[in-house]
Amino acid sequence: MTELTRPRRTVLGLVVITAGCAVVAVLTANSVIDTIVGLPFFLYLPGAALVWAVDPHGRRVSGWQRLVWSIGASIGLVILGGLALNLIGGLTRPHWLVLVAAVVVVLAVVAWVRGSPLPSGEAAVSGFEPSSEASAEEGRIRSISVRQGALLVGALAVVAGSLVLSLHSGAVTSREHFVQAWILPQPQANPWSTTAQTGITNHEGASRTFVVLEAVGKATATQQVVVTQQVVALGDGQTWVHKLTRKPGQTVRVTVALSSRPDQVLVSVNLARPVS
Amino acid sequence: LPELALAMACGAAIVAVAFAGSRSSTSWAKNLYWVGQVTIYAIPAAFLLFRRSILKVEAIGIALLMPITSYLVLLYYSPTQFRFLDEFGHVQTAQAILSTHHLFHVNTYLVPSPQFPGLEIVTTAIVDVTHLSITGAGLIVAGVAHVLAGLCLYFIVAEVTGKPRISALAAVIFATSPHYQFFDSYFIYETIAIPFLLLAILAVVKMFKAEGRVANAWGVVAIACGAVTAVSHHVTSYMLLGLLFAFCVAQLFLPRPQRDWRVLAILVATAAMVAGWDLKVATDTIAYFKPEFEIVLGHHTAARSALIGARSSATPGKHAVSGNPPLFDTTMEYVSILLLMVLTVIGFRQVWATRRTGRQIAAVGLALASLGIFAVVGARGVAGPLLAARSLTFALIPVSFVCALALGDRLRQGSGSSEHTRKRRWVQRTPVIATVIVVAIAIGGITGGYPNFYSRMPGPFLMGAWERSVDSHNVDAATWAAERMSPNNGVASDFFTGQIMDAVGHQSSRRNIADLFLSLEYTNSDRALVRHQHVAYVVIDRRITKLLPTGGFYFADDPGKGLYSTPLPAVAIDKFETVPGVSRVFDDGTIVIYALKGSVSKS
Repeated sequence: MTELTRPRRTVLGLVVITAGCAVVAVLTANSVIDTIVGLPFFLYLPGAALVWAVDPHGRRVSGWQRLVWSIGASIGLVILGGLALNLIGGLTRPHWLVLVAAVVVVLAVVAWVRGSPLPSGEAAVSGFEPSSEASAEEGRIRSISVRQGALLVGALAVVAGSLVLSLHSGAVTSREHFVQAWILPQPQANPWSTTAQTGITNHEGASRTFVVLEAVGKATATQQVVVTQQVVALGDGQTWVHKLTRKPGQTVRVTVALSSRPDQVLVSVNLARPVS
Repeated sequence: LPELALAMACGAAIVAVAFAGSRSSTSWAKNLYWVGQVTIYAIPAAFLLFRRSILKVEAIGIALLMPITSYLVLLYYSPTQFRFLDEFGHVQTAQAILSTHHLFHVNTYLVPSPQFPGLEIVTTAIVDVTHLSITGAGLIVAGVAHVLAGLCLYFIVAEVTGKPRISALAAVIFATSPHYQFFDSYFIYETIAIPFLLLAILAVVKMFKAEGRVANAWGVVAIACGAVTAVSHHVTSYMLLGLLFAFCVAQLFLPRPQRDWRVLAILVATAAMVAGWDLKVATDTIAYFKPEFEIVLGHHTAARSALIGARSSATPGKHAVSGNPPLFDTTMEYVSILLLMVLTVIGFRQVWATRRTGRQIAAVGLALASLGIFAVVGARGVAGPLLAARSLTFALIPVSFVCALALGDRLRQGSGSSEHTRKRRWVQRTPVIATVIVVAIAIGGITGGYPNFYSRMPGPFLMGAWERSVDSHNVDAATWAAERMSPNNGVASDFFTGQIMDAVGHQSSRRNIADLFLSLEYTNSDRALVRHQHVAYVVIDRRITKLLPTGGFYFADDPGKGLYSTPLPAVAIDKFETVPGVSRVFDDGTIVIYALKGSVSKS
C-alpha cells in the first residue's frame, strides 16, 4: 500500500501541482502568473487525475492518446462541475479552486489505491502505444537532434512573427478614429424628464481636447437658448459624463468639436420636445 | 516532423502576409492567400502519400499540426477580436455568468446559448482564475477544443485501421471540411461539443475492441462524453445519436459473433440524456429550430416569397448585388463535394468487401455513416448551401475515414504491383493525383465555407458582409448601449448592426422593419410599424447610404434582397431628423441612434 509505484508517484505529483496552482492563484493578482497556473488547473490536471484513477498502469490508453483523454476529461469535468456549482453555490473563483482541488485529491486517492504494484508477469505500458500494424510503420522519436531543434524553433519563430504581423496590420490599418457623444433623459423611458445625462468617449487613438457646447432652450417661443461651453481633455478610451437639467419640454443640443478646430463639429446629439 | 512543422508554419505565414496585404487593399493578397492555403494542405498530404513508410509519431504530428495550423489562420484573420456574430451572443452568456455566478440567463441574441452552457462554463472558469478577458480565454478554449477534435479523429481511425498513414490522412481530409478553419473554431457552442462527440465515438470504438468489464467501462466513458455533448450543443448531440445509430445498424450486416449490442444501450442512454436536457432544461430548442424546419419543409420559403412579391416592385438592375459567389467558388465547391462522394463510394466498397473478416463493427458503422454525405447533398438542394456546409462538419467524420482508405490503401496496394509498365506509371502518378485530389477538396471546402467570398480576406468595413461588417464603430456603439441603456429595448436597424446591438448591446432588434428605411418620408405607415413592432430606438449606420450590401441585403427579411444596385439615398435616413419628438441620442459620426419615444403621442 505504501510502495511508491509509477502511478503513485505521478498522482502525487498531480496533487502537489494542483495544490501549488491553487495556492498561487489565491496569493497572486498577477494575470500572467494566474494564466500560467490557471490554464493547466482547468484544462489538464483534473482530467489527468481521472485518467490515472481509471487506468493507473496505462494499459488502456497511453502516450498521446492519454494526453488527449486527460485534456478532454478535464474540460468535461469542468463543464459538469459548473452545472453542479450552479446548484450548490455559484460559479465563483473560490468555489472553482475548491472544486477542482477536491476533484483532483479524490481521484488521486483512487489512483493511489489502484496504483499498487502489478503482479509479476503483467507489464505497464509507457511511451507511445504499441501498434498492431506492420513494423514498417512503427517508430518513435527518442531524441531530437540539433538540426531538428533548430527547425522547431524556426517554426515557432515563423508563427510568432506572423502573429506580430497580424496584430500590427490589424491595429494600424483597421483602426477607426472617432468620438462618441450621447445624451439620454434620466430615466431613459421618460422623454419629458427634466434631467439628462450627456457624455463623450474618445476613440481617436490618442489624447484629444474637445470643445463641448450645450444649448438648452426653446420649450416655448419666448424662452432664450442658454449655451454653455466646456473644454474636455480625454485620453484614448476615456469618457466624460455630465448631468444637465432643463425645464419640461425644453430642447437640448450638444455638439462636440476638437479644440484645435472648434468650428468643425464632429458629432452632435439632441433631445427634442416630445409630442403631446 | 520538424521540417513539416516549419513548412506548415510557413504556409500559415504566407496566409498571414496575404491578410496583411488585404488590410492594405493590395492586389496580390488574394493570390498569395491561395498559395498559402495550398501549402497548408499539400505539404502534409504529399508527405503522407509519397513517403514509403510513416512513423507513428509523424502521423500523430500531422494530426496535431493540421488543426494548429488552421487555427493559426483564424488567429491571423482577427487576432484580438471576435468577428462572427454568434460569438458575441456567447460573450453575452459568459458576461451574465461572470456577473451573477449562475447559469441559464436570458440571451437577447442567441436564445439557446445559455441553455447549452458548456463553452461558457469552461471560459468563465478560466476568466475567474486567470483574469483574462472573455475574448482571450475564449480563444484559448476554442483553440484547445479545435486541436482536440483533430487528434480525436486521428485516434478513432487509428483504432479502427491500426494504420498511422490512413489515420493522419483522415485527419487532413477532415480538415478540408468547409467550416473547419473558421466556423468550427469560432467561440461558439459547437466548437466545444465536437471533441466530445469524437471522444464518445472513440470510446465506442475502443469498446468494440475490448471485452468484458473493460468494454463496459468504455461504454460508460462513451455515455459520459455523450452527456457533456448533450449539455454543450444541440445539433452536435443529435449528430452523435446519428453516428451511434449507424453503429447499431452496422450490427445487422455482421456475423453474429462480431456483434456488440452494448452500443444500443449507449444509444438509448445518450438519447435519453439528450431528450431530457432539451425538453427539461433547454426548453427553447424546439422553438429555435422551428423556422429551420419550416425552411426545409418549404413553408417558410413560400411565405417569404409572398412577402417579397407583395412589397417589392423593383426588378434586379444590371449592377444589382446578388451576394452569389463567383463561378470559381461555386465550381470548386461542387468539385469538392463530387470528389468526396466518389471517394466515399470507393472507400465504402473497400470496407463492405471485408466486413466479414475480423472485428469490423466500427469500420462498417463508420462506412454506413459516411453515406450521410448523400443526404447532405440532398439537403443542399432543399435547405441551401449554408445548412449543407454546416452538416458537412459532421458528415466528414465518417467520410474522412472512408476517403482516407480510398486514397491511402489504394496507394499501398498499387505500390506492390509491378507487372505492367503502364500500371506502374499509373501507380507512380497516384500520389500526385491523390495529393491534387486532397488539395482540390480543401479549396472547395474553403470556397464553400465561412467566411463568405466577400469577407474571406480581412480588410476595411464592408456593408452586409458578416465578418467584414464588424468594426469598432458598431461594436463600440453596442458596448455603449450595454453600459448606458436599459436592456431589451426594441431596435430597428440594418441586419448586422441590429445583430450586434442584440449580442453586445443587449437590445432586441426587430425583423420586418425594412420599410422604415426604404421610404423617403416618415409616413403614417412607418408610425404604425414603429408602434406595432414596439420600436424604441432606430440605429443607423450611415454607411448604408454609401456602400452596397455585399451579401445582397441590408435588412432581415429584406424585400430588396438581391435587387440593390445603388446604396440607399441619404434622405431615407435623414428623414428621422425632422420627425417631431425624435431625439438623436447617440452619434459617433458613423452610427446614429434616434429615440422614438417622444414622437409617439400618448393618445
